[in-house]
Amino acid sequence: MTSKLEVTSELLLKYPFTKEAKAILRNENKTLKEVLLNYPEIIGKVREKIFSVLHGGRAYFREEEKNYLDFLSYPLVLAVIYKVNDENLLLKFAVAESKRLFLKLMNEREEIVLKMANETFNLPVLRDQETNWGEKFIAKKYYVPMEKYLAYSKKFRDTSWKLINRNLMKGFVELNKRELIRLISEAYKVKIIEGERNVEVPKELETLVSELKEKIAREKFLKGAKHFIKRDKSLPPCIQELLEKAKKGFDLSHVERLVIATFLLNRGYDIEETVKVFSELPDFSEEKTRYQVEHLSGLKGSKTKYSPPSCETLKAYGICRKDESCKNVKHPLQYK
Amino acid sequence: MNGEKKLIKKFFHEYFKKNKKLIKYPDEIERREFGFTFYQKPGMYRHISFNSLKELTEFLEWNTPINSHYSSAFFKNPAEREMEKKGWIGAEIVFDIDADHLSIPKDAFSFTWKCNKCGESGFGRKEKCSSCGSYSTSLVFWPNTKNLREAKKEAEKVLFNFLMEDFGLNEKDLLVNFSGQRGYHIHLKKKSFYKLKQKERREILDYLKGVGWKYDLWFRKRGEVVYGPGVFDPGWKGIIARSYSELLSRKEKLTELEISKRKIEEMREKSSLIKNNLQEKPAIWSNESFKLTKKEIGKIVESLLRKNRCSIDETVALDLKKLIRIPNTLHGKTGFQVKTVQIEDLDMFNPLKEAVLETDESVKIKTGIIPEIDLKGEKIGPYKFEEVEVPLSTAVLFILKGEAKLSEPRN
Ligand code: SF4
Ligand SMILES: [Zn+2]
Repeated sequence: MTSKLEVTSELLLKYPFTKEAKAILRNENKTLKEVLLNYPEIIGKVREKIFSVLHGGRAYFREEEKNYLDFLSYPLVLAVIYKVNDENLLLKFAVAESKRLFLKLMNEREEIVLKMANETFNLPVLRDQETNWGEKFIAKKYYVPMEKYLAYSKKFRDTSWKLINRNLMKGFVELNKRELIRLISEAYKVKIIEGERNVEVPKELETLVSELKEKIAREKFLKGAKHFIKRDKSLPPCIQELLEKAKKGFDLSHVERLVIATFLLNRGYDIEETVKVFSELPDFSEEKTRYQVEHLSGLKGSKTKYSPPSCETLKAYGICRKDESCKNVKHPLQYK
Repeated sequence: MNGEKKLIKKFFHEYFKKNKKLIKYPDEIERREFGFTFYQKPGMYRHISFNSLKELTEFLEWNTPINSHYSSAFFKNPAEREMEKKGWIGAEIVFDIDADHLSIPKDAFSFTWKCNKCGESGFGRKEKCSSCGSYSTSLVFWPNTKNLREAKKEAEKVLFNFLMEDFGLNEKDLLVNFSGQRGYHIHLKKKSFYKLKQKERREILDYLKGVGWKYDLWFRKRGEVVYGPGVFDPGWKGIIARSYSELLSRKEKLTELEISKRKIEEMREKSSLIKNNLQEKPAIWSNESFKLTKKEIGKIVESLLRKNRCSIDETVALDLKKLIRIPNTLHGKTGFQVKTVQIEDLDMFNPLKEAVLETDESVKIKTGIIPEIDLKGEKIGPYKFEEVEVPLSTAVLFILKGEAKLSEPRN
């Protein structure tokens, strides 16, 4: 379909996921291990890239990749991300990469775009130079097989992608340049997400893998905690304020922590949920907190389940925030 | 074994014995799951697999299932019971066109009813028993030339307007079967479609059903002129424009468009002008000499979509592991052949002639309630508790419907 193309190495540096780029990597550097051996500074590069993906992908997105080190780091970044095995991180990476590819291809030569579609994404594209639709309608048209179109466009929500709104003839869907490139970028996203995940990660990058795993686990944990506080509306004002403080990461006093934990446990929250409430505290240690909460719940130590202090005691500690809703309440657990 | 059961078993056995060569499908047989039902045995026996067509045809001959199904899907381990263990590889897409789902007049159907409470029965569709007043009645569906003709028309529409034209499929990508009772199955056998999952299949179905069009994507306003679909356009746009143009040629049909009488009157007067506009590139839908509002255009398109869309059973097309009748086996409620029809023969195909087995034998039976049926070009019935002698295949149909018994025991 496309003529044989003299592909410059600069082009390959831009698209490190193509077959040719992979071949070059294979020829020049053999294995990921050797890449690391020859360019030890690449570890920092890989780390930096993944962290920028993790934090929204913006930085990674903007970055211009012209140098060889960036090119070499691509398979390492992918290997680490597969190894971390977090769907969210993988998706973030795939989306960022796909957006980046879209921007690059919009400024790319047509023959390069079509060659890449066909060879890297198995998406054969026919083109048509005729503009027999009147000058205002369509300048240039491309055609892709409908089954590929369906597979790659299925995540697109806009009704303009519905087949009924397309020109479909003899199994080919008509696209303009922008749409074609959008489809190719999506194919790239799918390729990353559905790629072979059983990649060896060189030893030198294993620390990065575990660092990422821990970070992601912790972030998930924190998210869970934020989620949970919102859902309970029947909290007395004193407790509400304490939870608010906990959420914001205030350094709570021992008594304050005790009040929260005993209150929640007596209201039927489980250990896990109660521990999560403290996860934003500056000195938070999951292990320690769990131990204390278990103790208060009667699971450990004295085997007695502790109750929160009475309103009077709370007043003495300056924790009470009595308002109208507290009418006749003598003990926070009475609050409805 | 009672006489009827013997007769049914023998009928199916003989058929499978003599017609092994007709059973050529499914392909990649070792990747398919099979499921069968047997006469007067409840439930379906499924999760069965075969290594070759020979194994399958021998199974059919010796076990005489009355309904034989295979999975449209290909599995790594088709005989496993749990889906995860089966290992889905891909699946044909099968379009089920059933007279039941078409909007055709009720008199194109033949029913008899039976009261589940007192056993009373009669012709037609009845929800309330005329004898005891119970609402627990069951309907017996009888083959009927009229609704089968409608189902065939629908199948032809799906094939010719959509699958072959828009999807570009040819005869070797498609397999068409009479379903054995009231419709047709169209199998899409093109390998590159097998991997498509539910979402993509839903989109194909939406296309065939004419779902999801958007005005702004079909029409553009430039000054006073509204440009839109033209008769030379591909896909749905072309179908709509041509259908519109056709109505304009047969002016009495214009009332099918749900717009005001006054507007239809104007359309009649200006029909040749409007038709010419539809041939422009881009086609013109509204201009100074014939004005349509956005709302009117919307109504016209909607009416034409309704007229041209396909009626296809959704569950069959979307189910990635659906069991489908094996082509050229027999249907357990009729004894008719689930006959493969060549696309070029579809036009002349009459299932009540060609899918009814040829038999020399005739059988004496006592009937229940049976409406008039056109079988093999002859009118049979109606019968109401009569003793008659009919061809074997007719007797089989009546027995399978539960509306006949043998007059005398046979061997
Ligand atoms: S007054 Fe008592 S019940 Fe009301 S908020 Fe303060 S402590 Fe809780
Ligand atoms: Zn009754």
